[in-house]
Amino acid sequence: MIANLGNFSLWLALFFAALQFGVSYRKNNKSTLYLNKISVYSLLLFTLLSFLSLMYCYIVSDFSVSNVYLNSHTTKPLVYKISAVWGNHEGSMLLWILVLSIFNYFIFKLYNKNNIILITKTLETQAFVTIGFLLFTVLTSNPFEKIIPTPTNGLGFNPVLQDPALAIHPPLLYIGYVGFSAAFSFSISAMSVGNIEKVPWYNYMKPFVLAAWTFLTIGIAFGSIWAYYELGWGGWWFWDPVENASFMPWLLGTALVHSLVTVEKKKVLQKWVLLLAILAFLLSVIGTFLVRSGILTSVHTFALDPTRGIYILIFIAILGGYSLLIFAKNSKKFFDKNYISFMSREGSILVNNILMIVVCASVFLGTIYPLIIEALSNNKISVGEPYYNSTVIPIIIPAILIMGIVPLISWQKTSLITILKKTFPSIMLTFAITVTILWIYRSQSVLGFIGIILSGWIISNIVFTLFEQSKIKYGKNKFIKNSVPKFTKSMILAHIGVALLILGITGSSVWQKEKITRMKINDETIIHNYKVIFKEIKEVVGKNYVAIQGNFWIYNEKNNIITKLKPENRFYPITNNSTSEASIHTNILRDLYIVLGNGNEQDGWIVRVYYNPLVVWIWIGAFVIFLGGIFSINSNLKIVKRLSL
Amino acid sequence: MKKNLITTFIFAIIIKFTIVNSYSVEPEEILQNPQQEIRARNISKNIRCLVCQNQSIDDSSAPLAKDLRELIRIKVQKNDSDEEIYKFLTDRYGDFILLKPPLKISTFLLWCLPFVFFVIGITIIVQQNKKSKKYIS
Repeated sequence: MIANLGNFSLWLALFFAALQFGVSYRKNNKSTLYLNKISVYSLLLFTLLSFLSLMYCYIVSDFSVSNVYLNSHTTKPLVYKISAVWGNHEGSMLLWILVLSIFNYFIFKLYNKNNIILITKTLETQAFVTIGFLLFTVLTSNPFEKIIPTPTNGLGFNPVLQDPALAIHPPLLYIGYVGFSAAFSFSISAMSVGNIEKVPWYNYMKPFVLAAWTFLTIGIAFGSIWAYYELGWGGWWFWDPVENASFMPWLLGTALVHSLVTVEKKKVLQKWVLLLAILAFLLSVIGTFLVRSGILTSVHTFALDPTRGIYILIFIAILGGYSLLIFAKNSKKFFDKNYISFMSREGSILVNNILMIVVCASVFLGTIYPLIIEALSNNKISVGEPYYNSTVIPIIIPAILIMGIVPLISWQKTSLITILKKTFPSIMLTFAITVTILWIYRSQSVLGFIGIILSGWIISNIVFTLFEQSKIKYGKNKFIKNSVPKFTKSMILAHIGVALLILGITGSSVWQKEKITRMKINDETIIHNYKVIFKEIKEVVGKNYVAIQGNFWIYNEKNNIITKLKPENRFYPITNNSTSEASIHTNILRDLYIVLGNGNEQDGWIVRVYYNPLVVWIWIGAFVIFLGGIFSINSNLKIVKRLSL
Repeated sequence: MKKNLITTFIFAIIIKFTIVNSYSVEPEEILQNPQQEIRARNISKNIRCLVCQNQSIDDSSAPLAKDLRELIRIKVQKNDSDEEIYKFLTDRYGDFILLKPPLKISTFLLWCLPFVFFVIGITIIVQQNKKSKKYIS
């Protein structure tokens, strides 16, 4: 019953998306606005209704719906029944559509007397994208398909995915992907409308790009946290094709966020931004294609059906062909009136934009190359971590060096000497930080050295930027005021976040220590000044699993007990698989990470203990970047509000 | 309710025998000579687990990965060079087993394009700089 309602709502949503698409051809502004209002609200209402219907089916375990039967089970905790809605292909497409119509609503909300043509055209493009995804869902992946006869219970779902971080990972990621659809639509719209003088399209585009990028950042971070504690070997990034699918739009988003600032401030790089906005969304859809078509086989992929792949491919071809055609035809109108000096803030942003694109292109190449080779020659090759490390890291390093300087240099041209003069104190401070940290960790690793320098470099530059700023605030010299570059608190936050992130990445990948050993009850082992004693092992019963749980007491070098870690080996009888739950003790300097392997009382159990320095700073860094993004969205929305006055 | 308890109890017994959560390198595999062990681990980090998805045999819990890890360790103990070990593995399993694809005709573009992208990027930057210099003067 409810399932039928959901299905019906989905068709109604399709109808209103089509209406919204058709509306813009009308000449009369008043009726355009009115019809758009109807279609935007109805689209939002019916996708929400459809989504809630599916959620309801999951909550009450309605196994007459095939999707619920395949992915849920009565014994599953309520939270995971809900997150199971988007933990599968069909449901996640429904979520995608819901987010799309929410963004659609926000675009509609931007209407004011000056921008009717721009917003109408944007909504038209947005409607086209929505129709594409609605048709895809209805035709190839309908979540409301029935199953006869109704099974008595569901098949459960992958217990590895039954996890809080992974429950919110897809919604966050989708806000990111779908946010770029708004950037895409604004780009198409701006190029079709073309009257750039009156309507600052970039001001409208910016909050959406920021939202997309901010949520993509935190979404990726949650995926990473999940991988860190769930996959059981202390890693947090694997260059898995599915991870790359979210990392590539993120890279372009990073480029876009920054070049939008130069458009806003200096009216340069307009063409570039228009192109980037198109590419960022196309890459999001390509990412969806890679993940959803089953063309890759990887840890995260849980969809296999070739018809879907072909549909998305055609959709990408239409979107890509149309948008790039418009770009080729209309982008000439957006030529830059000012040229860019290399030695300026806009120049550095341009350089880093290009470096981001180069990184993105390399990641893209690595991701699709095995597919191409397989298609052409039937040979299979693997492109794994070593490839990405050797292509990405050398390009990221100069990009981060440049990123460090940017807060200190001003818009317009400056000279190399000025830059050197300004950065001299930060070079000294970076040197001091690096020496101190390397002395503490007594490391001779080259990568560790580089990582600390980069992190210290960003932080030192920000310290001196703030210092210069405070000089103007409390000083009286007006001359200084103009020579000190402006910055925003969101930029400072985001950049500090990146510095912390680099610190965490460096610490955890360079100074990790590992101990693999077999332990019996009361055995002890030592890892980096910590003593680990295996106290007991027992069975525990969870809601839909049973587990054996080890109890490890950790002592520091003064023989004080710090914590008791309880890693588990879980067995899920419903799906007949087992997972291992690592137990982790975190402080700001390091994680202690214990995984229990198999074993028995006579021979002991296999125990893996990791000492992971600074890992927590990866997540803190990502969160600080996220905060910076949120602040920036807020201040840009204020700018947009002012535009309507 | 009672029935549930009984089933869980039965499962609890099953679990003792069925859980095979061996995570990657096991204590018994580790070589006595630490230098040899480091070499073996560095090699196995570059070898793909053939039955898993995007994992190296160093991270994998699959039995095949364990066999390969042991094989590599035997060869390391015999003082075979890294090249010999990689060659031995690719002769049997093909290039698919290498996480770092070898430079060949078929992978030429894979290794060379990132460099080309970089050069193109630098060219754009230099061009832009020239243009702006001209504009300013």
